Order: sequence, then C-alpha cells, then structure tokens
Amino acid sequence: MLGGASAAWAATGDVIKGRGTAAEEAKASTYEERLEEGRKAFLRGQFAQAKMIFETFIADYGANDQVTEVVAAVRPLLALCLVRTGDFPEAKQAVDDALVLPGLARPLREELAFARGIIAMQLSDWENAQTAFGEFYKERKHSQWRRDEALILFGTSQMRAGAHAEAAQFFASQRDQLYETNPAAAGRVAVLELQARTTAGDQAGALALIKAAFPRMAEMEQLVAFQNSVVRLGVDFFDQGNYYQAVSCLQRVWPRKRLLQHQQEMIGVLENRITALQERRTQRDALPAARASLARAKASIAALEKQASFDAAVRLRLARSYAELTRFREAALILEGMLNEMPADAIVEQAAVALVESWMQIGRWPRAIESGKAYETKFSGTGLEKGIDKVRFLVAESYERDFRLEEALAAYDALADSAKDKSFAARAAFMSGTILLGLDRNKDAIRSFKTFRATYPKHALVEDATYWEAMGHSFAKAHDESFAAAGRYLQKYSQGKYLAEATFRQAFSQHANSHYSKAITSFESFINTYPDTKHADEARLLMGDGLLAEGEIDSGLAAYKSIAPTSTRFYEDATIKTGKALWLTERYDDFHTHFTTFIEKHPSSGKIAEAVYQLGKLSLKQEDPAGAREAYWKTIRDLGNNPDARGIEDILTALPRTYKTENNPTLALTRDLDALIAQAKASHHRTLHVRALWAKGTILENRNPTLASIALLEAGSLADPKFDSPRILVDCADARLASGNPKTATNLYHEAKRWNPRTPHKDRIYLGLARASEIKADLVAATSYYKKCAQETFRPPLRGEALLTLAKLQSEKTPHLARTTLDDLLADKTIPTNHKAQALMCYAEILIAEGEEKKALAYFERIYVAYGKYHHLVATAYLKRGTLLETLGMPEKAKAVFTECITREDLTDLPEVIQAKARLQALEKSGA
Amino acid sequence: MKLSLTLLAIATTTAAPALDILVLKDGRRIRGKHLYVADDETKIRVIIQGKSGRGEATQDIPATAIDFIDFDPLENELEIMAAPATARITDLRKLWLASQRYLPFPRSRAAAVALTYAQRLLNDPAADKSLLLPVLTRVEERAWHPEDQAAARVMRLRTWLATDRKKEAIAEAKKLAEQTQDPALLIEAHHIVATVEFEQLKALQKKHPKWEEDDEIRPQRQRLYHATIDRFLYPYLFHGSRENVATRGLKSAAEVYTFAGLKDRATECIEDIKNLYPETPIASQ
Repeated sequence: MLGGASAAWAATGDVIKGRGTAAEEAKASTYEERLEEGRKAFLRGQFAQAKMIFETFIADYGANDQVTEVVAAVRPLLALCLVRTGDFPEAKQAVDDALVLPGLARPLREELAFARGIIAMQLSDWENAQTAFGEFYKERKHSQWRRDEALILFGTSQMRAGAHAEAAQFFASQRDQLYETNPAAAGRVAVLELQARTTAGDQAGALALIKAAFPRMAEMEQLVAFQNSVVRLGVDFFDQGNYYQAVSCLQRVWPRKRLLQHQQEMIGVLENRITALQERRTQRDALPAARASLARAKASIAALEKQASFDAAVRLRLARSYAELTRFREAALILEGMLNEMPADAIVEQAAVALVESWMQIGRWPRAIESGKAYETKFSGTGLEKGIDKVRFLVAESYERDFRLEEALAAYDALADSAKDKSFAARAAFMSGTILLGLDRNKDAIRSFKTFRATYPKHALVEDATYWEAMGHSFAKAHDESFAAAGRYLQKYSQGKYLAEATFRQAFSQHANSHYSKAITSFESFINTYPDTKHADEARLLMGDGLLAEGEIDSGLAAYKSIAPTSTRFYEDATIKTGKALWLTERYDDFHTHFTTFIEKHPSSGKIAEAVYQLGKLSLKQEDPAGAREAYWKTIRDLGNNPDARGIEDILTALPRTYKTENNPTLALTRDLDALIAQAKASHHRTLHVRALWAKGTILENRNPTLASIALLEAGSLADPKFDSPRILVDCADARLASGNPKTATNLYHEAKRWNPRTPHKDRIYLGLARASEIKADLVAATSYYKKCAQETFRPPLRGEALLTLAKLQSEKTPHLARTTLDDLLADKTIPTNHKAQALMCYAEILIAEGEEKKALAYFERIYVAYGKYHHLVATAYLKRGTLLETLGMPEKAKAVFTECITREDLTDLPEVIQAKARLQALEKSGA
Repeated sequence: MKLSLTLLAIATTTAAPALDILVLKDGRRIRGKHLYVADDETKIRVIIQGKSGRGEATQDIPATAIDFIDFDPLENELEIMAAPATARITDLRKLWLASQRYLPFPRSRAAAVALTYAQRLLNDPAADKSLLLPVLTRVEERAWHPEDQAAARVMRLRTWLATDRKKEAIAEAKKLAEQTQDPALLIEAHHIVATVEFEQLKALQKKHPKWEEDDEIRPQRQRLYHATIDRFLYPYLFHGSRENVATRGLKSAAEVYTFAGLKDRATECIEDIKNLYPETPIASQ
C-alpha cells in the first residue's frame, strides 16, 4: 500500500541538497555521505538499514539548529521506514509528528496520510483506520488510485471491526461508481462485498450481488476468490435445502480451465501495464497499484491450481441440487457431462454412480445401461472403482426393467460371482432366480433360490427366496412340491410378507391336484381371511370350480356369483361356467336369462359371441333352429353398430351354422346379409355396414371369390381404421392386394397397425406389407417385412411362408443369409411340411448356384424321401437330382434316380416324370 | 474472384470509404483517402491525399502487414445501422455490396451489415430468400471475427429451416453440435436440432396416435422426446448464466412436456424460469 517511496524521496531531495551553510562544510560532508547512504537504502527498499541511518542522523543532529530543515525532511522518511519495518506503535507517533511539520511536500503528505490508516489497521485500531482512510479519501488532491485504495481499506476496516453488514452496504454504495472509473477496484469491492454479505448472513443480498457482478466478472483481478465465495455460498444454500439458490450460484461458476486461462490473460495484461508504466515517468505513481494487482492475480492462480477437483466438486453439487428438486433428468445430464468430459477421480466416480441412478429414476433404462458401461470403461482397473458393484447391479436392474431378461440374467449372474461387496453378490444371486422365473426357466429358478438360501442363510431376502421357490414349483406345475414349499414358508414366516400369497398358493396346489374338498376348505378360509386381496376373486372362481366338481352345484354357482364384475377376467370365466352348470343341470330358463342378461349388461365383453352361441344352442336343443338364428341376429342388430362390441365379428362368422337346415344355406345367408347391408346403409350405420360387408366377403371367400372380393373392397372403402376391427381392416387390405392395388392395400395395412399396434393380426399386416412391397419391387422393404412377420407370428403357416419367401428374396444377392433363413425354417418343428419341402428345394438350388452341386444332391433326395405327398415337388426333385448326377458324370446313379421316379405310381403323368423318362432313354441310348 | 485492382477501383468508387486509418503491425498509421482491396484480398491499395492538399499518392499494403483498420463510416451507414429494423432492404443491400470486400480486415463492420441485411431478408416474407445464402456463406468464409462467422452459420441454419430445407439444417446442426467448442454456436445448434425434432415428435405422434402400444414406434418416439428435451435444456444446464437462451430452452422444454401431457414437468420448467431468471422477458410472460 505504501508504494510511493521514490516520490517521497524526490519530495525531500531539494531540501537535503539545499542544506546548511559553508561554515559547517566539513561536518556536513560526513552527514551528507550518511544521508546519501540512507537515501540509497530507502530507494532500494532496504528500509531497516535506511531507518537505522535516519535514526542515527536524528540522534546526532536532531538538536542542531543549523540543520533543522534537513532533520525535518528526514523525519517523514524515517516514519515511512518505521511503517515498512513493521514498527507500528513507533511509526504511529512518527507519522503524526511528520504530518504536522510545516512545508511538507504534497506527495509526502499523501504517503503519510495513507500510512496513518495502514498503521491503525496493523494495530487493529479499526475506528482510527476508518477515520484515516475516510479523511484520506475526502482529499481530492490525493492520487485517484490511492483514494480508491483508501475506499477499499475503509470497508475492509469495517469488516475487520466485525461490521460486515455496514461494510457490505458501504461497498454496495461505491461499486457502480467504481465500475465507471476503476473496474479493477470495483472487482475487488465486489469480492469484499460478497465476503461481507456472506459473513453477515445476508445470503439474499449476496446472491443479488453475484447476479449483478456476473456480467463483469471478466474484469476481476481476484476472480478466483470471487468464484470461491460463490461456490461457498452455493454450498451453504444446498446444505440449507435452498436448492434453487444453490443452482443460481453454482451455474455462475466458471470451469477451472476458463478461470486459469482468464487469470493468465489478466497476468499478461498487468505485466504489460507495469512495463508501460515503468517506461512512462509521469505515470509511475500508478505502479504500486498495478504491482499489487499482479500479486493478487498470481495468488489467485496459485490458489486455483491447488484445487484439482474444482470443476467436479461444483458440478456434482449442482447435479445434486437438481436431484433434490426431483429433477433427475437435469441431474443426469450434468453428471453425464462430468463422466464424459472430466478426468477420472474420486468425485467423478461418485458422479458416475449417481448418473446411473438418475437415469433409472426417470425410467431411461437404455441410458442407464449406457452410462454403466461408460463407468466400466472409465474406472475399471484404475483403483477408483469404489461403486462398481453397485453400478453393475443397477445395470442389471435396468436390463430387467427394459424387459431384456437374458441380458439381465447374464449381468446378475456375473455380479453374483464377481462382486467384492457381498451384499450386492447376494442380491444379484436372488435376482437371478426371479429373472429365471420371468424366462419361464422354472427349474433353474428353483435351483437358484435353493442355492441362494444355502449360500446366504441369514440374508433378508431368504424369505423372498423361500416364497418364490414355491411359486417356481407352481409355475412348473409341480403342485405337490409347490404345496410343500409354500408350507415351509408359512411355517417359517408366520407373520411374513407373503402370508396371503403362500396361503393361496397352497389352496391352488390342492385344487390343481384335484384335491377339491381340501381345496374348497382352504379357499373358503383364504377368502374369509383375505377378502380384499388380489387373489380373492381367483379363489372364488376356483372354489366354484371345486364345488361343481364335488357336485355342490348351488354352492358352486354362489361362489361364481360372488365374483365382482370389476374382476373382468374371473367374472367372465365365471359367467360362462355358470351357464354350463345351468345347462348340465337342465335349468334352461335360468340358462336363457343368465346369458340374455349378460349380453344386455356387458355388450363390450369379449365373451359376447360365446354367450350368443350358448343361446343359439338352447334354441336348437328346444328344436327351434329359427330361434337360434334369431338369437344371433338380434345381437347383431342390437350391438352391430357399436364399434366397442368386439364380439360381433365372431357372431357374424358363426352365422353359417345357424343356416345348416336351409336347402341352400349360403344363398339364404347371403340374402339375409344383403338385407342387413341395405338396412345398415339406409340407416347410415357405418360400423354395421362395414361389418356386414366384411361378413359377406368372409363367408363367400371360398364359395364365390368374386362376390367376396367386391364385398371386401367395398367394406375397405367404408372402413374407418380408428374404430373398425383390425381383423376387418386386414381382410379388406388383403382383398385390395389380391385385386392388384398394392398401394391402397399398403395404406390400409399401415392404418390398421397405426390404430391397433397390438393387434394379434400384426403378423398378417407385415405379410401383406411384404407382399405389396415385393409387387412394387421394393425388395429392401419386402425383406424387412417378411422378417418382421416371421418374428411376430404365432401362426406356423404364416411363419413358414414368410421365411420361405424371405429366403428366396435373399438367395440372389446374399445366399449365405438365405441359407440361414432356411435353416431356421427347417429347424422349426411347427412349420407345415409343404413349406419344409419347398425350403429343401430352395436350399438345393442355392447350393448349385454356389457351386456346391454334390451337397445339393442330398437336399433333392430328402424331398422325395421325406415329403412324398407333395407330388409335383417330389417329381421335380427326382428330375433335378438325376440331371445333376448326369452333369457330375455319374450316369449310373442318374439312371437309378430316373428309374425310381418313373416307377412311382403316385407321380404318373406329371410333366417332370415324362422328362425323366426322356432323360433315362437318352442315357441308355448313349450307352452311358 | 478475378477482378483486377483497377476494375475493382472503378466498380467501387462511388461508395468507397474516405479517411480510413490503416494501423500496421509495425505501429505505423496510414490515413487513406480511398482503400481498394485486391481481388484476392492479399493487399490493399491506399490512395493518400498529398500533404498540401494537392495530388495523391498510391501505396500498396500487404494484408499481412495490417493490424487493423479504423474504417470511416460508409455513406448512410450510421443512419441505416442505427435503425436496422426500419431500414429499407435495398439500402441494406447497397451497404453490404459496398462493404463486403472489407470482411477479412480486423475492425471491419461488414459482417454486422451482412448479418443485419440477412436478418431482414429472413424476416420479410416477401423477400427473395435466395439472396440470403451467398451473403451468409461469404461471411462464414471471410469475416475477420469468429463470432461473426458463427453467427452467419447459425443464420444459414435458420434460413434452411425457413426455406423447407429442414433435413440439411438438422444434419448441419448436429454436425455443429458435435464439432464446435463455441458455446453460442453450440447452444444455437442444439436449439435448432431440438426445434426440428420437436416438430418430428409432433408429426410422429399424429401419425401414430397409439404409439404407446406400438413396439416399433414407441422407441422412436421416446428417443425423439428425450432428445428434444435434453437439447432444449442444454443452455440452461451448461450455460445457465446466459439467461435469455436458458429461459428460451426452458420454455421450449415446457412446451414439449405439455405436448406429452406431463403438465407437472412443464410447470417445473416454468418454476425454474420464475425462480432463477425472474428478470428475463420470458419470465414476465
């Protein structure tokens, strides 16, 4: 702060030079030399030496009247030396004495006046320090930089005196003005004000200051100090649970690299400024301030360089603030940035674990898995992987939640074997068992739970393992074992969390083993004990079954009746079973009422068709075929225009059985359907109109394909994919395709899927789209749709067709893929044999194209050996095999094949057989 | 550019700036009456007024020797740039044509003129948008300040969006988002990609109203939905002190949440704006 030594000396120089009289010349030369020595020491900054010389001089000449003027000039310098050497009590008096000396030069007066404040601060005399700096500031003749310095030290003294609120207020009052005249000083004021406000507990004011000062942060020399204060305030807010305020602070912290770069640039600017000031004599007065700024900037860098984890700590805290606000996406995005961008260290490792958890919180399972893998890549083998077992467990759980059960199983199994933290090993081992149940690998699951219980007998999950073991037996239909395992559970955990489930499972096992009497007792007890549990209605249904099996009809019917309609599945099952019981007990009136009421009350039920069928059956039983038909038609008329009544399609397709007594059933039915179509059209009942047209098309499909196609095309043109059944839509699209309109067919397939993404007709949609794409020569799309169809379908003929066509498409450009497809087809036991025979033919032809003729021979042979009923294929296989043998130079074998072909009675007259005969004759003629 | 110095001089005489000061790297300052840029921009010919006010001297200065140029304003430049929103597009175009050759020289204001002109063209529904891209490309390639180059690049993306070249815009923006280190550019790139992806999300859901049940569509929808929000939140989370872009992103994220039927999430974004950026224009909305 006391930087003007040279100026001060300059101010005294004239006085010393113009000293004394000639009479004192000899003596003067001695003190002149000593003063010169003192001057040099002062200028070199050797203040202790200068002080000693000046003190000796004053001691020697202080009372000498002849050098009074020189002594007066030396006293201020001595005072300044005392300040510099830290002799503050002595300096205080010396400065006070010097300041009253007459004729004191302005620079010296300024220096001393400033020193007065410094001394007071050093003596912890805050009040006098404030007075001194305040007085100094008031004097406008003082240099501006030092006035600014006085201002800062005035506030600093207030802070030291414990008046932080006042200091903050003072700094705030000066800050804006300083930004105009001295931005560097304004930056320092901001740093101090922030400290003052934080210490005074004025967090709101501190935050406001941070926001206000942030745009001018780049001008701060002590930016690191400011940013550290911001971080501290952010942490305080976080600890207090004020997360928004924490975010406000932490998002205003620059990255360490940027801070370091900024400080380095600041140092460069300050060094340049110092060089420039040194070169310009008139501005040297500003040098001390510039040097002090440089020192502060360097100290900032040194402080920051020690904080290697600065960024990680800030960002982790920011992410946690978001997590506390239950903003897991925001937290995850910040943490992901840390994992991707920051070098591995303990904080980043902690962040990476939190990252996986955050993604899981918002159900972004693939991202959780991805982040888990990134964790492994970054930390495995570094010695930092403290949370690796947890991360692996979370990844396995993410696979599970994402329904990737095979991957989940592999991940749990690997963790169960490798985890260093045994709690994770145990949990993973248990979870393996539950995943195995999900994969329907019940025996493996049971083994897994047993192993778990043996390995971790005291683990909290042993109870769960015991229960799920019973469930595993039940899923595997090993009901005795399930009963026993559930019993073990109940014995061991009489107050366990699966008490109701295990009790139900025992009753269920008894029922499944046809121990109805015991089962009924068990179910009754279960229903009484747990009337509102999720198994209660299932228990009522099974108890009803058991009672009926035991011949207790009324009790059984009462059990069915006790099921709530809200348990749709059990309620509908019970309805149908009730009807059957009424039929068997010949209570036909009750039977009629039962199903009529059901249809009226539940028009949208999937069991409507079944109910109507039952009513029709009753009419037939009562020798009233017209009544049966009327039951069907009544339901169609009543509910046919209701798009939600999904069972109507089944009733329509079941109509033919009610026309069997007619002379020409198809004609009679078509006539009635046409009447319905006309009626629906006239009354603008679009849904019914579409359904009737579709029914006509479906019923006539085999008998009159042309009329069927017309009906389906018309139905398609009226259909509204948003409301109509996907079954109808797909049939209509198939009709469009068959009539040569792949484009409109494609549109309807897409619409059917768009409005019914989970329809069981999805496989037909894919097949239709594949065929349409093939017609449009879009083989890439066709290939993709055939694959989807094969993957999606549960209908073996459809799968066979899809795979076969796919292989044919693949055979030209990617024969290896075609062979894989055919291998899949041939390995599928459910696919019909005609597709398999064609697959063998296709396989053989691919092999020939690849130059593997000898291998192809076996495939042709397999066709006529194993698939004899497909005559045309068999004859072709003989012909192709024989011809191939000829080509391969094996005429005798060829003759044998041709001979076998022409002697097969079931193939007579087929064109291939005629060709085989010709080949055989040609071979014999040639004497081969 | 094949124009010779002479031709260029003739072509630009009417709008050539006067009394520009060339500050050379060696500290010399040359006060030029006219400046002519060589067609390959490697040198500048300076016409210097004779000392007595009579006659002229010519001096060729290599571009590499120039530290910066203190340009005198061009004719009408100050008036036009003082109120660019009301300036006539034809005047802006003239100004741009007169100033474009100074783009590479430090302290040139040509890029500002170009960007103002381009913005006006972009905003004006009747304007010929085909004029935009050559201007922006020139700024991207030649402007002396990287921020101007970046701004031109962003405006090019916005132009593509406005002229139905969305695919190009999104591809370029994605490339930018991966490559650039410039925060402003990165923020804009993310915002543009997110804007387009939000439109794609809306179109996808419209096309597939039952996307939740559709095993094929659901992953696509989820990817778009999450990517859109993640990108909109980018400035807020990583450049949170840039209040205007942070709030713009939060507001857009709230719109995505609202569209997805997640009103609570949307409210959270609005709460963020209120709590963290109360002074911004979006907060007052």
